Amino acid sequence: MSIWDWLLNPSGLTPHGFCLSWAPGLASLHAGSDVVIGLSYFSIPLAIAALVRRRPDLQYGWVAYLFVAFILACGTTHLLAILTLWVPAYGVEGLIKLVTAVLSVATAAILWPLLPRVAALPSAAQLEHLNLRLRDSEAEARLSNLELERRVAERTEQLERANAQLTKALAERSQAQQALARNEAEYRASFEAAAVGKIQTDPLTGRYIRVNRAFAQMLGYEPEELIGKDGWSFTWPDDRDDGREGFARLLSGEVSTYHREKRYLRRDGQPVWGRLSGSIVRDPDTNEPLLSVGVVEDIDERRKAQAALEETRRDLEAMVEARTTALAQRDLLLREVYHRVKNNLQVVDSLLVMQARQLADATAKAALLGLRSRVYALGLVHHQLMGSANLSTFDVAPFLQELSTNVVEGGADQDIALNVEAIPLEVGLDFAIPLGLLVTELVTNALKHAFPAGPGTIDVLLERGADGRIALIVADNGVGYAADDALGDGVAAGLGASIIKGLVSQMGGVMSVTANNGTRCEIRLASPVAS
Amino acid sequence: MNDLHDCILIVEDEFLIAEGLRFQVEEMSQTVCAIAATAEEAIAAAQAHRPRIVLMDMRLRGEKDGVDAALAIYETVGSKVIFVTGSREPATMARIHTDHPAAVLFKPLSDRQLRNTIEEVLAL
Repeated sequence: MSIWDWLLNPSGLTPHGFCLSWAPGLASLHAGSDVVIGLSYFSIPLAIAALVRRRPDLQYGWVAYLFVAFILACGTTHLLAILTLWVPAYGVEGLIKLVTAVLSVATAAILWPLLPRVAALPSAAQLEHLNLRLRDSEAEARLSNLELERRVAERTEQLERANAQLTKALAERSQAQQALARNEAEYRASFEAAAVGKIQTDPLTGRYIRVNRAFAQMLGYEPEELIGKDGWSFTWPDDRDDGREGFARLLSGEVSTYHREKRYLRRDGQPVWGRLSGSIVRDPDTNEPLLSVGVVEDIDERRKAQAALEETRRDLEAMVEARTTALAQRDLLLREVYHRVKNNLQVVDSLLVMQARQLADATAKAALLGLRSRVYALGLVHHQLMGSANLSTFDVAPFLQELSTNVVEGGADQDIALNVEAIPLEVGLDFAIPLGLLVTELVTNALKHAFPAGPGTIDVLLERGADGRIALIVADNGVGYAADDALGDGVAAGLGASIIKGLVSQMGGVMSVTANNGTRCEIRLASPVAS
Repeated sequence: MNDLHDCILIVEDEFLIAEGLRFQVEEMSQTVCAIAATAEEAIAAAQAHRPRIVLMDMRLRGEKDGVDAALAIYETVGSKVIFVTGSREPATMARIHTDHPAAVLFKPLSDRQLRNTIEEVLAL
């Protein structure tokens, strides 16, 4: 039997309708139902397949394809059941059923273990609920997002602010560092390059930490040679104690600065004068001394000049003292000389007195008396000189007063008034002696000739004329005597007249005599030259 | 002081000046009782003659000067002392004024000064 026979007409079986006795109602019922079932069974898997294809996200989609295959197979069996009503194709029908059975078993076998997993899949309601919750939480999330954003913005702003501050602070710090660096550089430069010596010392050990070139060179060293050395060893030995004492007071805080002019010890062993100004740098918190700093000015030349000056000054002082002593001795001697001169004049006066007493002749007696008044004038000049501070000049006014008074009171028998007026004038011996003798002669003349009877007045005036010359005027209000031979020019004159003429000429003067209500004798003299 | 005599003691170590003074005094109709050249002589003469006035030179021979003599005479006799000096040095003037001078006259001495001074001192 061929396969086709087996499939479509095995062993000559009868079609299924035969079993139904071909009853038209029954056969139609079966056939119609199987058509509907088969068509439905073809439609359902198509729909399922379409669904699965449209929803690729469906989990376990492959199970749906099993259903598709299984339902298609079922549908096919129903269509074959229609065929078998008329054709005994029981082989085909059996094969189809076999295929259907395999698919059914497979589907069933797979479905059971799958069941808990599929059941665990969220339902639509659950999903909806989940969705709602999701939406709620989304809203919440949005809200919280907003809040977060706000906070982020806030923080951002804070951060930006902080950043800006930080940037600024950094910039400032950088500036400060630059300034510090610049300061340090400037300080270093000023320290190193200063024309004055600069030193930094450890306040406790006294050792040099830093010295500049000016200081080192002042001592004859290079700066490096001094670093670490004991500063006191470069101070002149005699000046160390005083320096240490002062430094101790600075260190204890008793004084805040330290100034000393002291000698340093040069490399060549010679002293060099420096003026040190020092101070202590202290820890601001503990007040512990950290560093002692000093500025040292080279004052060697000044000190040496000062010393030289001091020596000169001492020499000068000694000279002045010697001169003062010499001057004092000279003054002493001069006073002694004046004293002796006066004493000798007194002796001369005594001799005249004694001689006059021996004379019987009145004229001779009068002549001797005249000599006495001239001697007195000389004595009086020396007397004035002794009383003056400089022993060489004196004021002429009291001299003229004393001199005239002596002549008038010594020679007048009548009541003669004397009026002496003199400008203040410092005169020396050379001027005073001829002037004194002139006044003596002129006043004596007036006494002798002007007042033969009765009282009168004699004026003695010393004036300064408009031309700067000195005018000596001796005038009286007695009878005129100018034509008398006492003063007349070219007339045989007495001793008095020739003394007057000679002295006027000696003094470079000019004399004029006028007789008008008495006699007025005016002598114009050059001013005395201050000696 | 009424036991003093109307005479004048001259104390002067230079003879010529002493003589000149004596003449001047006598010209004034005064009497000179003695002339002394040293301080000791002066004191002795003053005590012997008790003069009303002493004309006293400052510088005297010997160790003592006029002021020494004047002080002694002032104390023991009480005569008025008129100093006659050639010097007007401050030291001398100060020395004179340690005593109680009746007057001080400077050499050379005019008749007028001497007369006036003596009259003034006698009038004291």
